Amino acid sequence: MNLLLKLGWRNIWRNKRRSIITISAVIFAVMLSIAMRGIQLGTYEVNIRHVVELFSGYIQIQAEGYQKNPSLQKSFPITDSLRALLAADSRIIAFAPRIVGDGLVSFRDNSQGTAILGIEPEQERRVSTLATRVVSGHFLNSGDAHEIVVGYKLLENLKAKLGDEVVVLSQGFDGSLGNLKFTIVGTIKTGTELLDRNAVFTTLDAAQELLVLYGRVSLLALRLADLTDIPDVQKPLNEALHSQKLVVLSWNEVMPDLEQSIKLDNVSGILMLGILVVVVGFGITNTVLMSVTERFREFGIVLSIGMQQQRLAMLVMIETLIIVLIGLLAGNILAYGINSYIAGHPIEFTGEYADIYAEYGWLPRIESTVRFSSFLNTTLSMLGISILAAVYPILRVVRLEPLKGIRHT
Amino acid sequence: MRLTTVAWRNVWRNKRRSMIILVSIMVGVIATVLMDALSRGMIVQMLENQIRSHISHLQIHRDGFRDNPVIQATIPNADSVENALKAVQGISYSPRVLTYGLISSASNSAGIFLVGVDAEREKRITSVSASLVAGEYLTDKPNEAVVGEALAEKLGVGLGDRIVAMASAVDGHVGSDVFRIVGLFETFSSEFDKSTMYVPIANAQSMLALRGQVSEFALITSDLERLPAIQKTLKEQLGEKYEVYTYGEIVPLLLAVVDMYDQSMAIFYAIIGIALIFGIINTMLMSVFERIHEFGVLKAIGMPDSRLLMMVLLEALHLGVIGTALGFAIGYVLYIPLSHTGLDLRMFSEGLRSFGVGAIIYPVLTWGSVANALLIIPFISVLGALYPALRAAHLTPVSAIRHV
Repeated sequence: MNLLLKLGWRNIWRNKRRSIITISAVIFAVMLSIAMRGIQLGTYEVNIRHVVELFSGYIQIQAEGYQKNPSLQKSFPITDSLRALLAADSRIIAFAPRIVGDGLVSFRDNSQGTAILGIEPEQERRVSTLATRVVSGHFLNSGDAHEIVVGYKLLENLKAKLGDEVVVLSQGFDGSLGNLKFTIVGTIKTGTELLDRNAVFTTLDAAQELLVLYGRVSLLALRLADLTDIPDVQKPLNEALHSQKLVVLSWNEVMPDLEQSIKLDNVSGILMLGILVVVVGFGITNTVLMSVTERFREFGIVLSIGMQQQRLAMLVMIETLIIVLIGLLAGNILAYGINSYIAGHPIEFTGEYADIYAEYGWLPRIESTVRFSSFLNTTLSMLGISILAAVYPILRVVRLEPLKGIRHT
Repeated sequence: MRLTTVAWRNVWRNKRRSMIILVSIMVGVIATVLMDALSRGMIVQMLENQIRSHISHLQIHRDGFRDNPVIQATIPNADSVENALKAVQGISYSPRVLTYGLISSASNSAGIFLVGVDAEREKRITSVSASLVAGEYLTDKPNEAVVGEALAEKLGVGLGDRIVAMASAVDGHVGSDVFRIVGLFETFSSEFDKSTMYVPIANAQSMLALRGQVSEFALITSDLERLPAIQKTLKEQLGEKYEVYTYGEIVPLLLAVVDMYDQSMAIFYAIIGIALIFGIINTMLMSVFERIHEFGVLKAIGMPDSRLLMMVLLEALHLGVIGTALGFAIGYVLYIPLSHTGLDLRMFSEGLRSFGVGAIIYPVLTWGSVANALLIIPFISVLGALYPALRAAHLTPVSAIRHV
């Protein structure tokens, strides 16, 4: 074995240029694959965190059926046992009660359909980053009755300004129509088109008054320490709340479209890199085949002096693997450099594309992550394709008859 | 003997090597053609769905409506607009009343985009009437409503149920009316389904205290090439009091998304190109090195450097052209059935719907992509052969002849 290794190593460097070009191709494919996977996964993670912390929460507690049919009828009271349950789990950093209703907001002759969001300002600050998104005026304070913060686009569409009084009209829990006057005290800009264009934030008390929903809430948004904590927190909580007809939904159940967009992007990324690896695989086949064919005479001689065919096949495999392993090593190191650099220095971009990203609720930013799995997956698939690539040349070697080999020119 | 003939024969002196590089070029070409057609198909569907669900190709409003779409901003003179539209060949158009409002059922309410339409004419320009999942589209009967299925679900209502719509009227009061749901639709945009309600235009006008006025004329042309000309004509005829916008101006984001896809395809082409170029450099380099002796002889008997260079480049070009042609042929054969059946991406349907695309993607191959695929790879082959060809051209005849 030792002898074969030594032979393989020397054989590779008999044609330096060819080996270096093949190694470069492997480096290129490996580096690109890992770097792109890192960027994709990193960007997903940052965006998921951004979206869940912006508003939805890591997980939500809702009444059964609310997700499909979000009506005021599917509201619930926050019982003491529910509070105790949430306080008992240390991975739950905070929770925020919310009321979600629909209404019509009018200012002078302008009316807009709107989402009425009742929140508890102090608790909200601990769960979401909403309060940091205020672009003019100020965020709600606890006890601010009849003050609202609206999406900045809604304010523009209403042709209203801070300090103006608007009327919000809505159908309450009991089916009656009610309206309340509110003073606009601030605007928010979240980058989420739906919130910026539609949302009216008010205190929980005011929303309960408007919607005749005293003591009840539409949902609880929870903040957890980390995205990875979700399954561990969700399951026991779900079982404990089952008797109260409440369900615990993670961000991907609350926003299935976000999760699927990510999956779709992810799959198309993997597909693209798969094609790249296959193309490089053919390049490897070619190199190995050429290096094998030009040594047929030499192989014929070693076979006729008694070398076993399997050992020769092993030699070719070792040569292939050495080339690929060098490429993998260098590719992995370079990719690690790229990934950790971008992870430390995210690339922000502006202009037209920033708007597109904002439209879909993404951060206009390229992030990266150094994740062991993307290094491992790329390395394994490159190794797998290289072994496949060497199969045909090796078959040629195994089938070689010593005499034909010696006579090969 | 002509140089191309020599190059052609040289390619086939080592069949196996040439075949392998051909196969890798083919894989690259097949992959780029299909990826390109698939993402192009997705874009075309997105555009078409957006245009056909509501936006249409061209919208005419009172000047200033787009910036401030209040109910008071109605078309100043609907008759003169209709006359101008009647003079344009090859279009269908439909008048609409648009406003934002609130609808309520017994159990819930929702903010909506209320669209008053003339059923027969609207059918000709948008596909909502073809996207019904239950019931019928509007007929001419009063107080009928067609809503998105998602909206009905949210309100907890179904076919035949009554809902109350409210919106501020022209005079500043809140106008309201009761509607009976006759149809439910599901388009490709979840957002649109959750927020849109169609009612007969006469109902919308009476509810909003309009006296026969409309907010918008939307039109679809059968020949998209003519759209700029149509826009120009209408602008000139209608004058200052009107705004005439194409879909590209109404949702510039759509065109920006198209741009973004074009760029990501360019990156994909570049990556596959670079991966291929390594293989081509290596193959050509090998084929040059095993012929050093022969090249030495050619040079010694007087072949100019430039012809030798050209010969090696032509060899690479042959490989590139054949590989591309075969790859494209196979890609095309795969594309034909796929463009009829479509690629079923149902597992991502919610994600696709948030982009306004249906669950089945029908790939679309455009002339532009065909040209890209057919030109880029042969060019890359020649590029990859440049270094080996230069090496061949710069050989010293005497030492090359002695090379074994």
